[in-house]
Amino acid sequence: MPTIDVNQLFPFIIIFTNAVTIVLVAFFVKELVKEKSGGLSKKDLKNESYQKALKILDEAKKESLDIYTDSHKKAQEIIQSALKVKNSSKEELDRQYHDLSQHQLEALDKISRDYLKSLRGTLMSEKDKSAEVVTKASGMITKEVMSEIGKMKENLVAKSAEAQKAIDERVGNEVKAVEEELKNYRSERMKSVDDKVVEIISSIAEKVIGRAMSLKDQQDFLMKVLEEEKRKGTLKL
Amino acid sequence: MRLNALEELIQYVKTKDRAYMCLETLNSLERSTFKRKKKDFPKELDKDLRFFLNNRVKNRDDIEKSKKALKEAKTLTLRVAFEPEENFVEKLYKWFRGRGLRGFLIEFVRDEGVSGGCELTYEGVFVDLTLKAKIKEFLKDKEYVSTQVL
Repeated sequence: MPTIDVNQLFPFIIIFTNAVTIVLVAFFVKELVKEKSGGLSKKDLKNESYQKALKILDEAKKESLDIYTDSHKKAQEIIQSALKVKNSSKEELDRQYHDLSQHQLEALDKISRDYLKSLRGTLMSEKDKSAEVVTKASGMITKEVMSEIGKMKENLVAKSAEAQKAIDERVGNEVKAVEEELKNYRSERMKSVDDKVVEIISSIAEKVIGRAMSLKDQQDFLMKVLEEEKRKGTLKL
Repeated sequence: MRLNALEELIQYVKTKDRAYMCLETLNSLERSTFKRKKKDFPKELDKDLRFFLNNRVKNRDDIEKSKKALKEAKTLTLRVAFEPEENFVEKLYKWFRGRGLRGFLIEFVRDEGVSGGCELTYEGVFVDLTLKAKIKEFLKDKEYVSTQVL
């Protein structure tokens, strides 16, 4: 229920009573002027009117004061009544609020409990499902990993065999190369020895034969050598 | 004097030694204004050459041409250990002419280091025909040591 503040009404009441008073005074003055305008002089009439007006003003003042007092009293009463109403309304409202909140609390509690129960059920169900999924996934992962390990093992074995083969081949090639090198070296050394032997023998033979050759032999040998070169076709002049 | 006449001259001269001798003779002939006779030519020059100089060289132009031909003749050098005989030089010159060589003179160089055979040089070509080279060639095919060891 809306509450009425009395202090806000008070200035309106005063303005209203003053306005009523002024209207009444104006009315009486007019009437008096109408009645007295025939027998009295203008000055007397003016005084009389003035006195009457004063009287009327006093009466109006008194009446307005009464009205003000009454209105103030009434206002006080209204305020009191309004306060009473306000208090009772407040109490009622509080009570209703209390009831409503109590009811809402109960409802909320019930809803919460239901929701909690439902949530717990859902959670339990999800937990079971998750556990199942995890178990399944774990199994799959284990299977997959085992498969991968198997493949890796096979791959490693194959690679090891390849590496071993490559090493064997390389070692074989190295051995072959070393053997070949050794053979070449031995052959070169033997050739060198041969060359030296040939050099020595030829030197000795040249000296011995050369010394033993006569002029005729020398000339015949030269012709024979030239003929031989001609026959072989090696002498190209 | 024709070109084949000059070739004939070189053919008579045969060796470098005789070419020098011939050049001297040609110079003398030039100086004596052709008053020298066949009998005055050096005895080392063979009779064909003396005949050639006596009958074929008629004037200064012939002398100049002959000298030029002798100086410009190609040289076939043979490094040998002996002093060749006349008939051997003849035989050798013929042999080389038989191989197609023309306008050349043989130069014998005596070298005791060459025990037998010769070292031949002709127009930048060197051929080792010495006794030592021939013995080496003979022994090389035998492979004395290596074949027995390996």
